[in-house]
Amino acid sequence: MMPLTLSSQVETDSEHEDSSEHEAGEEVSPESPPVILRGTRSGLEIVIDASASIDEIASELTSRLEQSPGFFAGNDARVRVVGRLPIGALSRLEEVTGRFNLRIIEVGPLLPPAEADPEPEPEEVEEEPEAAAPVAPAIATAPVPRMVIGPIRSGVVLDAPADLIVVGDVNPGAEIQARGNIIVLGRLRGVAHAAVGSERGFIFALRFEPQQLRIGKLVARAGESDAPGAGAEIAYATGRTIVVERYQGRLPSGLDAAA
Amino acid sequence: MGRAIVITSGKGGVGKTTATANLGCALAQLGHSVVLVDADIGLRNLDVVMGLENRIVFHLVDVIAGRCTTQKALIRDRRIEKLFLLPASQTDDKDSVTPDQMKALIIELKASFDYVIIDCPAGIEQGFRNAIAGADEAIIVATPEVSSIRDADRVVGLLAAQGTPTSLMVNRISPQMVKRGDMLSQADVIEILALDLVGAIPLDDEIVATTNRGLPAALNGKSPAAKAFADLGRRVAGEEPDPVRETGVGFFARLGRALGLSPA
Repeated sequence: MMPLTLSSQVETDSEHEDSSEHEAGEEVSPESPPVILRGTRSGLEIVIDASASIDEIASELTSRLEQSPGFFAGNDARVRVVGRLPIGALSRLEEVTGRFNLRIIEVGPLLPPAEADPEPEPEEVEEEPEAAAPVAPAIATAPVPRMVIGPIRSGVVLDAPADLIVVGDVNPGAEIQARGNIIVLGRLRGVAHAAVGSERGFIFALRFEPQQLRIGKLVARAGESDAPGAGAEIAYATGRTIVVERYQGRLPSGLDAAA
Repeated sequence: MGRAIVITSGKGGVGKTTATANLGCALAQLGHSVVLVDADIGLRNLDVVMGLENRIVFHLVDVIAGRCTTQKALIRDRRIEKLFLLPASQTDDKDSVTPDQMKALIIELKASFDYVIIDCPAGIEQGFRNAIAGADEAIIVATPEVSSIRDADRVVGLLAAQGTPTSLMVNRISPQMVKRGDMLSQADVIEILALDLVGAIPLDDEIVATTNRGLPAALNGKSPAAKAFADLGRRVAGEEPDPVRETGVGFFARLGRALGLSPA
């Protein structure tokens, strides 16, 4: 249960399907209350409007957490601030969350685009606390994918802070890495490392002939016998192995479930 | 102002020097003025392949150090008009020249020749950096072997990084082996390197023999490789070479297609 700062910033809007339940009072509405709780794939987020006074914020947070006291116990939360928190506010917040046995692990500004409109919230509000605590962070989709035109030649190392898209081939001897997912619109013949510093991510290529695949800390080596598949394939981690399978036009169910 | 073309490969032993000598001869036979520059300082052998070894008095390092004029160090090939060689030094090493000095030298040569063909040493270190410094374009020599292609790919990346347009010459193709599926075809090589093909030279015993005699094969133009080098020269010079004959099953047909597609 070590959520990653990286993936925390984003709520991907790629998963609207599974988010039919909206919890009353947890949506961001135009005249937002000073405190909003919401579940994201990377865990609970406390969105705070810093223009309110610290007392207001503290009492609002208290009343919100009181609505389901046991639910948050033992979990981690991230604080997202709109504006600037007054001095001393954070310790007040920690005092409140501490009472509910909720730990603040990160404080940062609310990121502009996705949060502006009412966000359907993913299935955070399950019964058992385990569900709210993200065991694995979501597919680490970061805000700005990097697109590179290939071929990526031998000796070249590409390192993307988010998702990486290569239009063209990745040749043997080249290494591409991304903190998020990797999409190769061409032949993947070099080394690809997705989800660097993370656990969840996939590697997609129109043709898989890699020297090596790495996802998070897992490494898979191309076997001599593995004939390259006929078409597009996708590699992802399940448990402690990397699976490569034919791309069926959507993310494999293993990746869906993690989302 | 002439064109400076560097012949490079990354890997050693794939035929850079032979290609330089033969391309130079082929261009000179078309009536262009050509100077061949041996940038392999310390391990020169373009002079040997050209059969001009015993005429060296001054060399490239002398020119750069200002010990002689450029004119004085150039060796004229008596077999063809307008073909010259600027030999490398055998006693210095790659560090005795800087890329900037090379660049200045190549610019000087371009002023008096149509083509400056630079024979690049193997590797991607100082010698390589010197050799590519003054080049306007590059021809990558690759043999249909995985190790050669791997190194070529690396070199193409380095050339792309400095914005040098690059084309491909595939060397030592054995049509029989390709047919049997024992050798990569030039189509396979092009697929990986993603470059325009300017030449495909068949494996030819004649090349070994002529190289050892110091008489580039392109000079007398009888063998298949010599013809292929002549075609290479014409393509480099911007002429359309004769349509490639349809002998060997599939091989030459494919060669024709591959060349037809390339804008060279």
